[in-house]
Amino acid sequence: MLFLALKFVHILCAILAVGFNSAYGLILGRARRGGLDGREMAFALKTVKLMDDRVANPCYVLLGVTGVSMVLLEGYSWSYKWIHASLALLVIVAVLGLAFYTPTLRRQIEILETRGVADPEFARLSTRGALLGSILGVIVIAIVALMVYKPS
Amino acid sequence: MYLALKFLHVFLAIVAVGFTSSFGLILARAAKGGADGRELKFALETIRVMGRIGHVCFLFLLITGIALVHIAGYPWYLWLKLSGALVVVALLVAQFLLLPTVPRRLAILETKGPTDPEFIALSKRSAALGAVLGLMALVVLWLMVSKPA
Repeated sequence: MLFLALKFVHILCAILAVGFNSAYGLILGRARRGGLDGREMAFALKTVKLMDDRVANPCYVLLGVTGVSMVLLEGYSWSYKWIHASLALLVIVAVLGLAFYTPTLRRQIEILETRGVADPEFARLSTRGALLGSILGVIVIAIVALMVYKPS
Repeated sequence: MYLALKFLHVFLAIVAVGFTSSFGLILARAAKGGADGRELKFALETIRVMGRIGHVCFLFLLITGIALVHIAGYPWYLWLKLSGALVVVALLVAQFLLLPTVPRRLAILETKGPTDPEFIALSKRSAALGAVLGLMALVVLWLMVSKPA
């Protein structure tokens, strides 16, 4: 029963974290077509930041915790490729997210509020954010594939 | 073939449930926006697009689920029947009750503004329906995980 409860939380966290992450590109992409005063963009960036800080990132932490707990509870060997590779990729996602993606988002909001949507640094940061988002997306898809295919 | 379909099934679940779960948060933030309702308009237009994507994903979730049962040769266990039925109900509720409120709310927002009583009533109805659909998604997920015979 404990294992099932952990698995339920694990999958729910994966759905929320990855599902929310997948929405960022769409929300920000639509905001780019907003008004020249940048109100839609400001709303979109702050909403994405809230989604990331309050839902996606805590879910990633819980994903790691429940994943490790399930391995220990079920007595799986750490030597399985799908277990250590997915854990390593999750650590990479956390590092990229916390050290690069979140600060980029924060800086974008600051620049938008002080210099506006047409500022060159804002455009540069937007490109960087989109690139980071794509890299994170590919890594996350690789983790999901490892969980499904379970290569030993 | 089975694993590829399972991967697709999981991916569709992530997009479908993940997208729709974010609507409450996006709209709640937008409701605190400017009095002219520009943030609300942007949020509603965005969730209209996300809702369509989510709806298609739910439909393919059902199709891939049925295909998985067929390929694996599972008998139609109670958890499979229940989860399938819940997804069909969720699809119908979304298609006929929830999604049509978005263009209606956008139309009211543009003509009468965010303080219009009908806009507020429709927003409350959508939030309640969204909560019910969220609960159904949790039940389906639990059925998928626990697989009660």
